[in-house]
Amino acid sequence: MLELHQVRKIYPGPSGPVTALADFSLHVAAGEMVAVRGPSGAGKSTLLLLAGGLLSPDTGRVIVDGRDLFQLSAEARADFRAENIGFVFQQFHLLPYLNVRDNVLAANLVRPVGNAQDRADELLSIFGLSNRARHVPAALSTGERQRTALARALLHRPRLLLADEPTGNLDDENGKTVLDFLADHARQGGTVLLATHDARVAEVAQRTVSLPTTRIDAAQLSKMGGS
Amino acid sequence: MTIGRLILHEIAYRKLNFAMSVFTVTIAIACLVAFVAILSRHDRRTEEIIAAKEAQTRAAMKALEDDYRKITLQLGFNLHILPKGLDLASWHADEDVAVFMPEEYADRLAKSGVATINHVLPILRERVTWEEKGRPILVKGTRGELAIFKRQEKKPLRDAVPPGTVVVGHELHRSLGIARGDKIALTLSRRVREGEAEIIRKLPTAYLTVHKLQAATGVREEDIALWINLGEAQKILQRPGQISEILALECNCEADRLARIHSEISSILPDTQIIELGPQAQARAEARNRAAREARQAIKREEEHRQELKDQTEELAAVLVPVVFLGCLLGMGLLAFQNVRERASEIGIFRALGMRNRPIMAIFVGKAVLTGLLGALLGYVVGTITGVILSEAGFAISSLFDPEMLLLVLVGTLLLSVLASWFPAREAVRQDPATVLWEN
Ligand SMILES: Nc1ncnc2c1ncn2[C@@H]1O[C@H](COP(=O)(O)OP(=O)(O)OP(=O)(O)O)[C@@H](O)[C@H]1O
Ligand SMILES: [Mg+2]
Repeated sequence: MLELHQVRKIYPGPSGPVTALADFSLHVAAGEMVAVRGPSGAGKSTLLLLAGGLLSPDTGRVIVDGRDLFQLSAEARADFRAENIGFVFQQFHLLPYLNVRDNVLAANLVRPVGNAQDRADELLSIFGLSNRARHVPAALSTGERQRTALARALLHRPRLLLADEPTGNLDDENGKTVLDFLADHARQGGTVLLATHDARVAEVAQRTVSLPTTRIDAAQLSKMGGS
Repeated sequence: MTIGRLILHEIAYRKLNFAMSVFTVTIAIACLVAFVAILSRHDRRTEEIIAAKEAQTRAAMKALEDDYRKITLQLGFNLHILPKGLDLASWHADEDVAVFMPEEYADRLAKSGVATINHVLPILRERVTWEEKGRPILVKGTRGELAIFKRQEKKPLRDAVPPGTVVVGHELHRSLGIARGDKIALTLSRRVREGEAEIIRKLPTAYLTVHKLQAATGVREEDIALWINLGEAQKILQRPGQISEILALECNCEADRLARIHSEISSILPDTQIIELGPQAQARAEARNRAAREARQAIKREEEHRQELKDQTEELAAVLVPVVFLGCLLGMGLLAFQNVRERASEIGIFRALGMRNRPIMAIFVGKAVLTGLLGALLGYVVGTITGVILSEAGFAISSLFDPEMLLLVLVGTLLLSVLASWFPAREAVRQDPATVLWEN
């Protein structure tokens, strides 16, 4: 379902370029739930952004459901995302002026489906947000925001769910609810890729991928890239 | 959820921000509108003042010209149309010269609709002696002025004398004690040459009633004259159907006046000659010309003054209006630009959700347009009211309402809002969503 081929991402920085991913490859089968682990700054978020087509790699290919995302036009990639991919940002990125329910339904503004309202209410109830439905993000706790972001990503039952630290701010009970739900989503055929520090996630995930701790500097990499 | 509702949600959430944005546009547009309103008010006021002044000048000049005309009219007839055979040297010396022309000439002249003269007065004039009083007098027979064909009738310079009556010149009635209503016997005698000798021939006596006593004029032609009816004069003087001259008043024909009068009259009455009373005519023409010239100059001065004022205003407007306008545009543009930049992360979110470019642009441009139009409308109202308050009093708001200006403001704001928001939104939409989110 998801194939990363030798993807590389180097960010420019004030004190020289920062290599976030160095020629990294990964295959995730449909219905698989994979956890990406690694210390802070290892490039987990970068990996997820690349996989979601939200960030273009410097080199390498990102293939989702047989489609090379960065061969598509920006508009076609957007359409593909709307159709197939759910994304949970580490910083949630909720729309500050919409309440919880409307934030969840924002996905429906992009790609309207008939039963979206019911689906939204269902997700809010599952994630324990029903009594927060009319609150704007600023009035929520971090955990509540996190679950709202997750509910938004799940509204259209995406075939590929990319979640950056989805349990990072959750207590055990809520964390378990979320993880169970994601495991269930995977069992129903959805592919789930998680970035996490959370040991609990590794237990639920079918597979854990570790990003190397060692930082390869850009000069070294460009030498490697020559081969 | 629709894009429209999304915009409204955003506005409702950031009320203060929205209010400030609208307020800023309002101030900018109000300044612009008030400025233009005051300027056009000033311009219109200037025009009114100048128009009033111009009308005043015209009226004054008309009055002046009228006065000149009246004064010159009082100088009386200034053209003598005389028989061709008359020796002008003798005429000037006021010698007795018995040369006449048919009375019918006067009718012919009047009927021709002659253009260069007014007030046609046929006269039979003769210097004779009034035997009863032993006085030399001038007998003048007249039938009054003839109406000129197709010409509006003017107030006559001299009226007709009713038959059987006489109008007595001042010197005569003063020295002879003649009163109105007196019956006078009139036996006239004239000198006639018979061969070498000059004899005095008495004419039959006529009896007339004094119809009018003339006021003093100081002119011999008037003060020792007896005016009688032309028909009667012809009978008394035994000159049936004859006149000695036609008096007339020249028209107000300026250029080459005399030549035109001459050519016209000689074409109608080839058997005549014309004498123009120089000083009178000249004074009249000059006065008239001076009045006309002064009127023209005064109006020209006004027009120059007006143009100068207008130029000044326009010069001011030419500099200030674009400056104010550009300032407003720039301010509004920066505001709209800034607003989109502040919300660029939202563009990343919509993009991450898979929204296409066009609806994303619609969200941001739509908000900017809403802000701009609302601000422009408010600004127009505020600016108009301010314009009324700040410009001279006495103008109704309705008189200041300028639909063209409103349209200009709305269209300008619309264009600007679209442009100023379109570019940053477009910029954000083109980047990777992750980059936009990271950077904002
Ligand atoms: N847009 C960017 N511009 C510059 N540097 C970036 C950018 N995004 C990430 N980086 C850098 O790339 C490296 C990898 O970042 P990334 O966010 O992928 O790490 P992470 O594994 O998700 O870390 P964490 O566990 O703290 O979330 C970091 O050193 C980060 O500073
Ligand atoms: Mg991260």
